[in-house]
Amino acid sequence: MADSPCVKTIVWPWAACAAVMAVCLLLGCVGPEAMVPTSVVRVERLAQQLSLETRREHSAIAERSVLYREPQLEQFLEQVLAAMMPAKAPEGIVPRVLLLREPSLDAYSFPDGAIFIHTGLFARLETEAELALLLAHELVHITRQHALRALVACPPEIDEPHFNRELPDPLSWFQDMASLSTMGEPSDELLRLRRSLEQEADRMGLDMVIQAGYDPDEALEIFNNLKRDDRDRPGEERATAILPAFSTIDSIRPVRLTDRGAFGKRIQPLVLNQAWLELQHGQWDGALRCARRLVRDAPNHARGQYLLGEILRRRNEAGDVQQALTHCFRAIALDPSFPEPHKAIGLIQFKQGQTRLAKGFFEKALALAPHSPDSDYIRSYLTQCIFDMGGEDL
Amino acid sequence: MKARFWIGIILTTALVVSCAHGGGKPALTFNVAVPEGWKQIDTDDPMLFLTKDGGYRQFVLIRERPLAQPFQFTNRTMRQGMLPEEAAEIVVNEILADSNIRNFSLLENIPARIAGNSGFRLTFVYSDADGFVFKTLYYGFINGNTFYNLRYAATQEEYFQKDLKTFERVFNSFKLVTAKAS
Repeated sequence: MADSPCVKTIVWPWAACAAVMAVCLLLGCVGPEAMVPTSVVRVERLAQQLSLETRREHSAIAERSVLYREPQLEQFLEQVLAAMMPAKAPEGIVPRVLLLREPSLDAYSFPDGAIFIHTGLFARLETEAELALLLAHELVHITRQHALRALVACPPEIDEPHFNRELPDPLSWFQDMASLSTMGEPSDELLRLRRSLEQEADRMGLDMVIQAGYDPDEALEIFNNLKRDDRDRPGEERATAILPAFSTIDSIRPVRLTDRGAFGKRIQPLVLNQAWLELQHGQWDGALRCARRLVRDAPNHARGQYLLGEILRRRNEAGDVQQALTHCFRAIALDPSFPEPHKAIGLIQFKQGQTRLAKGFFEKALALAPHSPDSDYIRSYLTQCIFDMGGEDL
Repeated sequence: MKARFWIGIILTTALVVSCAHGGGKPALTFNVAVPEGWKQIDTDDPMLFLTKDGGYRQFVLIRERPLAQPFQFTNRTMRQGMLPEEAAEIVVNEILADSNIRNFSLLENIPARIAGNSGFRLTFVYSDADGFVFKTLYYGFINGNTFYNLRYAATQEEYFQKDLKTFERVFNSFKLVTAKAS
């Protein structure tokens, strides 16, 4: 298990000021999403429960998930987050981004400022502007206290069951609000409120992105990128829903031009890691998408070439093996000291009965990495090759 | 008293379980010698589950599964002609994808011979959702259209070491039944 998110310092005057702010919200800006009449005492109680639940959930995440740690990427995330931050962040909230090594396309935030992004989602981002919109969306959830507002809007008689459910904050990036069932059967009113909070996060988030100088069109591409991976997700329609709020969007001149190539290079280690993770989970399409992205962004990346070849070799559908060989030979040409593609080619030839050719590649792989964890397997293949060749080399 | 006597007789007799002639449950296609003092726990699945002191102390599980049957968490399947290393990789990935398994650590992944078949041996530790830490030896091989696996797990190192020799006897007694009972 990697470092727990709970290790991070958490400042908790938030719970106290949350109650006051929530009351202000109830009195002043409930807008179209009418909330049930409530008392200051109830809001205070919910704020306290929410803060307790947040801590409990941090522990649960630390238990079941592994953090993806990469200092350079973390520094970059801090920079993008800082550019998105409102001039005056609410007291007691410490916005920070934590990457979880998970294949799913998800991101969510907690009232204390923790933003969790699954590497499955992060690996799909194409530009810094898309990342900025994702972070801004979550920052709106945090700074506008959406979790508390959603809780306050629930009928008081079901306050307690909220805190028995698996996940405390269903205000999750791109979640289909209609399908949420973590709170039993949410009322239509509650679903409307949740949708309106998501739309608020989209609108205000895009505004923050524009204020930070990013190109809004580039940022909104995130919806289409993710739509490609999950057809059930709202894609273009979600982007279209935000745009009417920005009638002057055509006149916006972004000052922070983002470089796709630089962003792609910056997240290469994460994408490489993600490809292996998706392969582990048997998600061939996701693994191949990551590997093809690596090869597209960096054709001379030996590990990317090998990875693409290895995924194809393991998938073994029609035409895969030939392509696998091509990528593995390319990987060797780029880095002749790289043992894995030698082994991969050996395995392909071994299975095709070309034991003499396979033997040469196995020997090379073993010579390059004699103590690798799979060296016993390679030796067993070599033994089999020699046996199949009639012992002529013995 | 009488029941206890018969249970005692059953448990203290080293049984050879010929699983090819089961009643309602699917016919198994292997034989093993059940060690003295170990109980066979009935299941509906094509497996043999043995324990001496209960599943949370130690157990031996021998299972067969059709190659075409996808694994639960990765949805991957094995196939004929797959190398032992490739089968091992599917098993490891399945364990990694199981959200009930925590702190998985693979200590060893090597080729192995199992009843004359080329296979693999994994040694790993993990904890379950309740915090129990299991150390496991896992042998696997493909024969025909079936993937066979034999595993021995114990919750504590002392149990693991204590019953390792017993498992080795079970492992050495393992044989495939050449013709399936109809």
